[in-house]
Amino acid sequence: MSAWAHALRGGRPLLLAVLLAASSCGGPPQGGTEAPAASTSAPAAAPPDAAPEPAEPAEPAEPAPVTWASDVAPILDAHCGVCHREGQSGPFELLTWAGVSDHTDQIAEVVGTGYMPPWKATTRHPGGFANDRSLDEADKATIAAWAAGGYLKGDPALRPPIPELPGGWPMGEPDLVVEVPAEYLLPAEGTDYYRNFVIEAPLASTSADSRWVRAWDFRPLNPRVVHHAILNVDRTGWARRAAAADPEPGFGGMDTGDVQSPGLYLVWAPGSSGASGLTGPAGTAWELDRKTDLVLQLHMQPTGKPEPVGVRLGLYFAAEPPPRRPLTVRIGDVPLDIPPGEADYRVTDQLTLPVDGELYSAFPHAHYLGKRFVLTLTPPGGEPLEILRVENWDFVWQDQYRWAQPVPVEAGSVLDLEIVYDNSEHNPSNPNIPPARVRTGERSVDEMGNVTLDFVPARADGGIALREWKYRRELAQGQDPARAHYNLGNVLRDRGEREAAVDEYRAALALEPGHVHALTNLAVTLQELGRDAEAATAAAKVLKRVPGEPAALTTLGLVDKAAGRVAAARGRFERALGADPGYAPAINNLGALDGGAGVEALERVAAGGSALAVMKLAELDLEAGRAAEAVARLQAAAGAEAPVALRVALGSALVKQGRAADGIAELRRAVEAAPADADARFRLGGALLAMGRKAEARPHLEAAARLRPEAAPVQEALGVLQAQSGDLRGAAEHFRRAVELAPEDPKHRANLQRIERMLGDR
Amino acid sequence: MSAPSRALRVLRLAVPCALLAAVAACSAGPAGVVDLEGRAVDPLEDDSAAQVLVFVRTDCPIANRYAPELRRLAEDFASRRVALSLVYPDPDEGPEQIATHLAEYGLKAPGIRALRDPEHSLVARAQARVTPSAAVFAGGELAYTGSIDDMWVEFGRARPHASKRYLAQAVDAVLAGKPPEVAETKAIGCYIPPLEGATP
Repeated sequence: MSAWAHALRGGRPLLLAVLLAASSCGGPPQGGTEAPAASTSAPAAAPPDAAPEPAEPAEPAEPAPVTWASDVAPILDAHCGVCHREGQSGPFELLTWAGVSDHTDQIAEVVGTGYMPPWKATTRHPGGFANDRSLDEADKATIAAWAAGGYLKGDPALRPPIPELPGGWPMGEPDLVVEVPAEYLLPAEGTDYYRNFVIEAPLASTSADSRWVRAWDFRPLNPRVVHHAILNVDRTGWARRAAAADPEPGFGGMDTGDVQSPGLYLVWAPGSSGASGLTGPAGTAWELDRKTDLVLQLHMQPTGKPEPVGVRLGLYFAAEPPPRRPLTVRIGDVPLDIPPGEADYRVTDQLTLPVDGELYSAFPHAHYLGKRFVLTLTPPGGEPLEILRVENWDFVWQDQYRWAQPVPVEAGSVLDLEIVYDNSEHNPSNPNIPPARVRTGERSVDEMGNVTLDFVPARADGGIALREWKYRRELAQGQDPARAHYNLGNVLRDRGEREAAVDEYRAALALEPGHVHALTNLAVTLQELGRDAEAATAAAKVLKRVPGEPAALTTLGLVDKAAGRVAAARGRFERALGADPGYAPAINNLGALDGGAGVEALERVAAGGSALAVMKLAELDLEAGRAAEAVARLQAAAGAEAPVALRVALGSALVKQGRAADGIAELRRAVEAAPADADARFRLGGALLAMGRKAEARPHLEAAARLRPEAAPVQEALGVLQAQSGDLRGAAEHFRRAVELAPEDPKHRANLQRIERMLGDR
Repeated sequence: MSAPSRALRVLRLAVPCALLAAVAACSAGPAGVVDLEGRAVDPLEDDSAAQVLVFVRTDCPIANRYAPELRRLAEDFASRRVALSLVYPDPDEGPEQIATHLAEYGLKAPGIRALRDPEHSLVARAQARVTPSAAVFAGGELAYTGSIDDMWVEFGRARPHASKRYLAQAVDAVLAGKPPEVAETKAIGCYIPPLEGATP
């Protein structure tokens, strides 16, 4: 029956296309454009390993025919089977003959055209890409030869065992699993959907104040619909408000407002789960604190029926503090105005990277008119090197391209981006029929163009310089200037330049008077500068917009306190804690009120379950020499759910009480629970050092220094450790660093002078 | 894109019934064509002015994405007394699997009839190569074969929305007693695999 059908259809033109593809990509020369008949005089193809060697002995042995079992199955297993297997993203499985034999022509065609496996990038950077999914020319030739030979099955006994995919989480059980609710139903119809789901403060349910995330993984409950996912963080509440305003779960669209990447651009695409894909550059991690929301953006395509969308995220925490802090750098976002019919609309952008480091990955993004991306890097005085090229940009298959060898960057290197758009009727993806003028915008009928790169500065302190450079560049380009002023203000404030930070916050507010975060930080910073009247005005404006905002209330409390209005101040701090019982500045300020004026209020907050208030009261006890009371108070609160910080406080109080062994045991438990908690490490290291257990103390103090390179007390403890170990030069180094970090503390200067005298005596 | 006259030639299968495996089905029409209850059916033999076949399979993502459009087309055709038959050519897809597929994709709808074509009789009559592809017959003659519309440009590349609705236009033309303006297009989709044992 089928033979007649084929005769009537007059053969399949596809096979010719496949053979042409094979010969053009360096396939076996004997493939040619011969008719694909099963003729023995024109062997279909040689096995792939023989392909590059056309010169063969005079009497060629009959080459073994290419078969699925021996030749093709290993290729499909390695390059297709991760997705094309039961329960994964591929629409059908390609691991068994039953699955493969139903899709033979399709396999040959999409391999020939390069549509599958989906991979768009090329590069001249040596080493290519770590996550390259594409088939090499030998594999493509094998598939073409298999097609030309009539898709022979071969001997099933020769089929190598199907590789097992590790069940569950390929990287092992995550430290924290969070879920996006499965209530969202993806519509049956349409092209591309963007949906953003907010996972509110995932750390709030744990005992940690903050974690370093070294890797993440992503498991869509319905893998068929998700094309890529981007994980961002939000400390502003913007995403929560956007989700609340959207009648369905999450919020729609590509615009994610104030949401930011956490230093790395976190992208998942089908097949990227597992050890290599989602761990980021070696030695890096990003910080997640208990107030931060995760925002997961999903790019989905409908399947023809409504699809429930659910997602589980796994987070993997760093056991050790990360030695390197990455930062995302974005190039592009040039204003666009693309005339209808224009098939080669070209834009360029350029930036100069200000510090040494490495480029790790690139994520190009455009909408439906994008055609080509070319990214080049030119070192100072050197030749340009093309590090990424994407021809035939396809909105559907967006991906993050990770260089197999990170691209080394010398300070002053120039990054050049070229993007070409096709707004003609010949671009099948053009959303406008007939073509229309298209400008910059977040909607899919608008256009965009940028590349987001993961950059790792070579020096630990390169990060602040890079952040400052990034926001100043955004300002120069006029990109969301209110946000850039605000971010720049935060960088300057972090660096202690408060006057300059105030100017940036004011600039942000001039553009966007309702920017609550700029207003809040302005109030706090003005108060720190002693400009109380201005601070009070700013804080009042915040409270008008966000009643009960704890930072603004605390600022007003400090202004009251400075004016001698202690009762009013206490009232403000207490109200701040009514809004957020974990708001540390309000607790600290209550504790700092003269004569124990805040103790009663603290007791009330502590009775309400605030661990921070308990810790503050214990601290006051210790300062007053009441170690036993402090220990009793902390022990009463130290249940299984208690935060690590409380256990650390208990351990320290026990040490102060003279119960060093108990204290060290408690601190050890805290470090085991939160190995990346700097304070736990510092306290444990300090307690061990005080006991003379230098070797045990060292790794904890060093870990604390990596976690908090800016903490002078840690440098001080390391200096003491080095001095006691007889390394005076090393000790001097740490004390010098402590002086740099805390020039106002005479203790560090005294330590340094003593060591320098001892060095001079030698 | 426009139609070579070859496509309009009717493909009469001059095959003696006795040579076919499914002899029982032969007498009722194209060999092996059955509905989900196993009854032999000839979708090209009815008294309406046009017969529409759309070839699909349960695991073809492109065919599946057309489900909402097929439902709309079927509703429109039914109002004009044109039957739409969904034809499942993969012999491995049994009646239960097909019934589940219809229910999941909302294709259990008035105006849609599901048929199995395990011997590819209709595949041959309609010159179907891929799923999804459509064929319009009028008076037993093939009037249109090809894609439902121009949404898909190549495998994996779709327009945001279709600009040319070939199937609907072909039906309109046939009902108006005219040949369709476009009688043949290249359908984009999942190749219909040859039957087991057939020589490629």
